[in-house]
Amino acid sequence: MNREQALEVGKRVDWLLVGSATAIALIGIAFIDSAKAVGEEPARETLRQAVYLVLALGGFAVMVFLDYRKLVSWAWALWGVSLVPLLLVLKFGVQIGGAKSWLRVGSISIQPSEIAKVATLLLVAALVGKRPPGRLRFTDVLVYGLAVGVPMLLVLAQNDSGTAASFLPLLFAAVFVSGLRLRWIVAAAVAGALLAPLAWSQLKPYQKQRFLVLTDPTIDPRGVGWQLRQSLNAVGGGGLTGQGYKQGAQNRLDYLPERHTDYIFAIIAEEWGFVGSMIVLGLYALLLSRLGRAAALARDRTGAVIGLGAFLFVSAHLLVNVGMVVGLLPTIGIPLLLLSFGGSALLASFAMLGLVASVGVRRHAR
Amino acid sequence: MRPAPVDELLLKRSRVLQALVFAGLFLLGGRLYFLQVVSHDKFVEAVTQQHVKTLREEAPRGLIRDREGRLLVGNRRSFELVADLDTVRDDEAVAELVSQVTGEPAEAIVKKLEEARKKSRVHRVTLAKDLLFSMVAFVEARREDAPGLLVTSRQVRRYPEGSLAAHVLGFPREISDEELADPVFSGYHVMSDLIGKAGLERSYDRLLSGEPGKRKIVRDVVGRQISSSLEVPPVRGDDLELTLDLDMQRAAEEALAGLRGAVVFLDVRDGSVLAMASAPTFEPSAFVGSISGVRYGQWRDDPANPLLFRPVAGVYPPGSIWKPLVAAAALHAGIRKPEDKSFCGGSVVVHGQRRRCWKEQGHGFIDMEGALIHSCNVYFYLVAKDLGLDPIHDLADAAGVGRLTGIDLPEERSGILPSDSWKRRRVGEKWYPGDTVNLSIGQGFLSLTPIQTAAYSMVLANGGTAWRPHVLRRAFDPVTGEKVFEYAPESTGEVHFDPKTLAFLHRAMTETVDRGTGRRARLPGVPVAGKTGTAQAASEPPEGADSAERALQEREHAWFMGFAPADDPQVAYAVVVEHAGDHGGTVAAPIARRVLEARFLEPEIAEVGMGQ
Repeated sequence: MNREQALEVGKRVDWLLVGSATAIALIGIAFIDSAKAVGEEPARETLRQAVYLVLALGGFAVMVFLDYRKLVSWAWALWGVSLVPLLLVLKFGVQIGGAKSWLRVGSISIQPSEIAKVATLLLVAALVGKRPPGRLRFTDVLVYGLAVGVPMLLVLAQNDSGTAASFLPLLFAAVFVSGLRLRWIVAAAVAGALLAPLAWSQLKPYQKQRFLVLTDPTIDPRGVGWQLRQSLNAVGGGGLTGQGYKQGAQNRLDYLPERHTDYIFAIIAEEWGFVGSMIVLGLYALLLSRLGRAAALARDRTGAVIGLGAFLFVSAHLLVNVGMVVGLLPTIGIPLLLLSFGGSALLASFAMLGLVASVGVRRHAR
Repeated sequence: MRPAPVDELLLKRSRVLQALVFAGLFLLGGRLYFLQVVSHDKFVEAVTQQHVKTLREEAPRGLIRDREGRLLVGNRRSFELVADLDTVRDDEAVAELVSQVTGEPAEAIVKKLEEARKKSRVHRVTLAKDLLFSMVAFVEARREDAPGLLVTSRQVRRYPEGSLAAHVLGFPREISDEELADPVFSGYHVMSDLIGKAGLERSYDRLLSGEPGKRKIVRDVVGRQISSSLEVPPVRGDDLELTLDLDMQRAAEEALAGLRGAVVFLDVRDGSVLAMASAPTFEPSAFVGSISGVRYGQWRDDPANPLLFRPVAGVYPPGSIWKPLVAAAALHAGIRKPEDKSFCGGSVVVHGQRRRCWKEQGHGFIDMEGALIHSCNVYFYLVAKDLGLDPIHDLADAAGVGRLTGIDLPEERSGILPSDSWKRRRVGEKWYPGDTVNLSIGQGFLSLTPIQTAAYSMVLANGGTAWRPHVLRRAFDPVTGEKVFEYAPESTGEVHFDPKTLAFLHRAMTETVDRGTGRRARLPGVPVAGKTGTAQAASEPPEGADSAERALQEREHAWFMGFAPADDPQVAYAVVVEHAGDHGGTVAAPIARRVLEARFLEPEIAEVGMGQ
């Protein structure tokens, strides 16, 4: 790639997209520090996340310069390679919390499921892109199901049901935009509704409580109910303008569990108030609109699916995580992409955004 | 194969998905508005309630000093383990940690927590008391293991004089459920407050309790205290100044050491209690910590009953110390003159029954003074025959026998002054003349407490005024030092003695000490008046008593009562030694002398006195 090409890419890259994502990540770093720092010194987690952000921006740049079409042609191979660490983690993984999702390499731990998300997105985009428009065939659905299902089941085997579930929007996007007939969608919804009681009976008691507590916060007042109450206390206690950065009572007094990962939005809500929550949601909305725009302007179906997949990944994490924090959705342990602590997730997220930016850069390519 | 171009369907459906997501975002925004703006106040309240606690800051109890200002009861800081039920999240973890400190089984502690949770008003449970510093450090280091377990401190009692005057002082303990339900206490006490359980701590609990303060505490999720500020400082309870004289009290307790019995010394001019000893005694400091349960059990099960407050709650037949009162009744009734003599041949038949004197060979011809000095029984049997019950009963009643003295201490018992109606009611029989004969030498149904005996002695000493005995002299505000209470002497009755009768009794009782049965109470330079008594014990041995205890219970009580100085009475006293197995003059009189020495002799003279 020569100098002119680089300038051309720089001119065409979506700065609002990378700008909003970086702003979210910086806010995330600030609140990871609020959650973890004890004295004046920044917390170890803060510094780690900052280093990962630098690396992630580098990764973003690499992805922008790479032609996504070239990557798509290697999609199966990349996908296959990404499954290897998922298998390794089952054997050599480190358990953190309830899930065995981390691989330790020297002093750093990586989360293979985050890499698999990007590779799976790429593969799904490749598959949908290669298919000519028209009626969706059953074999297509099978292939998509395989592409999404294999990594998903491997993640499920790590006992990380939240992350496993976050693969589902991708499958849905694939079949939906490939032209799944509306009647099938309706049929699936009806079947889902009918099967819901059966599924309910299969849930473990603690999983059931996560649902029940939404309607009755007095359930399990020292377990799930406690977490929910503390999260709502943080959000509601924030008020319009918040209690001030690093001043939140729920945060400083340790009442919020997992607050640098799954509950980071609750701290922002507590310390920056409704205004801060809206700023963060606004930044996400901006990011999402840029992802949607990239999808709409893509020069081919593959690019469009990449954009849309990224859009759904980010929005699914956002809706489910914030929905949990504000007590609208059951407690599912998934992080907030870009905002939560986690190096692998940050790298993977920016790589994915880089892929979308790459689609955007090449929208008018001859 | 070249990638396919973007088709309309994909674009359309992609727009549908995006619209749904943005709708979701709006929903989240609305929910956030509801939580953060609309319901903000409610959550602020919930958050505040969760980690800001306003605690009642217990006030230290007032100090207690003797009449010279010498400290008897002080305060010191003591550490406790308290479970805050609102923040405890794992009962087992708390129980485990407490168990490591106290050795109490973890299951028992879990049960305590569960019990406490059933009561709606209970937020805190004390699990261990009076911890050593090393234990405090042990718990502090492991606090994260057991959220909700707090180390708190409170002011507890300190006893610089050890067990001295333990029964009089009493001790505070945590308020019981019954006391909380009692409007007398619930007005100013709350759960887990210290409340006086015995002695002065109980009778003057309201003065001693002070005004609690308010403390605001911010705590994190594991109960670690983040900040603490005293909003309203507590005010210590009023300081009490007692009528007790530390030197006399110590002398009384040393003289009683190893025995069972009681000593009471009153100021005859106003009823002030100068010394009040009960033996055996206990350690009030044991009621401060957790181990007190064990010690309390030992004391409760001890046949010698160290927890019994003998001066006010021990009732004993008086025996011969009763005789001065019978003599006075006989003189007032005019049936005897002091110089009238009777013949004691060692025994006499009265109302068809042979009655014995303690002196088998008899006293020969003996007048009233001789009968008192040598404690002749036959003389008083004959008096009883001529006098009947009523004059004795009426004089004793006027002197306060059979009634509470009204001393400012709890647990007082009234003893028994028998009468015809009393006997019909309690025994179901009429009064026989033989009962009067028994009564004449202080036996039969009659029983007195040591404080009543001392009060009776006081009445003889001061010419007839029954001052209400009292232990509190004054109370002071601990902040300003202002006097907030002063005891005003109060007469509960007047006995109208004929001055001649009084003079006669004083002389006879002085002679008793000078050359009669009370010789062992003689004091160089100070005339002492006294009367000995040796009373047959009517008490049944307690159930489960061993043979040694049974044998002990059959032995006689030794009494000594009187006043000093005989020519200008200042103090009246009563000494009783339970089951002494010897005469009052032998066992009880020397005890009285020890206390009189502490009062009337300079220390160096006292030593000479002891050598005599």
